[in-house]
Amino acid sequence: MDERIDLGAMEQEAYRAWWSDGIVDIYVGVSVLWIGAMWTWVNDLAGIAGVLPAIFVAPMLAAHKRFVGARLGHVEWRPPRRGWERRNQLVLLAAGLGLLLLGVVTYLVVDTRGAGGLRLAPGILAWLLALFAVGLAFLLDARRMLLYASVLAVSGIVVVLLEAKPGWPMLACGAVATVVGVVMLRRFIERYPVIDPA
Amino acid sequence: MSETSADYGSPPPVELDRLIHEPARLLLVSNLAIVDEADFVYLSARTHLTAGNISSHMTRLEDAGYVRIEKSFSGRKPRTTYRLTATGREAFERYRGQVDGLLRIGR
Repeated sequence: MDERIDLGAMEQEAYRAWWSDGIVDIYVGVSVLWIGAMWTWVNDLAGIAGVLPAIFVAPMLAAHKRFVGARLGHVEWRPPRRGWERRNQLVLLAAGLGLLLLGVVTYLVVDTRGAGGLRLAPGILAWLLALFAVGLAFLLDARRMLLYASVLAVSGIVVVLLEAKPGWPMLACGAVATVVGVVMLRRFIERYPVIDPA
Repeated sequence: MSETSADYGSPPPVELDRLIHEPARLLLVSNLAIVDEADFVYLSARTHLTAGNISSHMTRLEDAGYVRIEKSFSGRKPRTTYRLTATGREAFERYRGQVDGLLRIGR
């Protein structure tokens, strides 16, 4: 048995706890649901569907910090962790922009008719998002992203086969992420009660 | 003539830092070692020690120059922030090295 004081494992566990409140999952889930609903039912406004979630990023992060801070406290992480966070933010931003560009190009330019005349574009969008989710799973060490990726990948196939609108995989993934987020939030509240700082 | 550990070929006894070796303080110091700075709520959530316990142990660590304590207000709420000093970090690293060494010998 390894009985050393493993500070690396301790730090990772503390850091993970800080992000285990589910608020980010609920935010992502509701945002993706919203975008999926706009794409499915309100085609005219689909282009600006992403504006609302973008506006709510800062308030969501502030709410997360306040909520978690009351239960797990306020922490200034060590320089390696802060560097890791900064690097991941840049990678996420670059990957998100790349995904957006790839999605637009695929949707507008590429001939996406596959075998048997199936229109692949709605599925390709879901598969690109699934790829992004897989990247996130390993980058952020958040394995639940693999669940979201699976939902996107499978619903992408279903959408192609049924020739449905591209918003459906997002609705499916958004619903799953929201439910996962709510379950995480409930567990978090049970596990970490509010602590009086006095 | 009294027998010493050297007579049995075992290494000389290690003088562990008793200030850190105490279980509650070891818990507090190791949780502070993984961050640059943390508040009382963090230590309470991580260690499950009572407020009085945390306060008394932290005062002892502060007296030894291992921890720096800052009291402030966040809005209307009081906020106590703790940070391991360079001396405290060195002492903890030394302690870890000694314990690791002891455990290796014991295997």
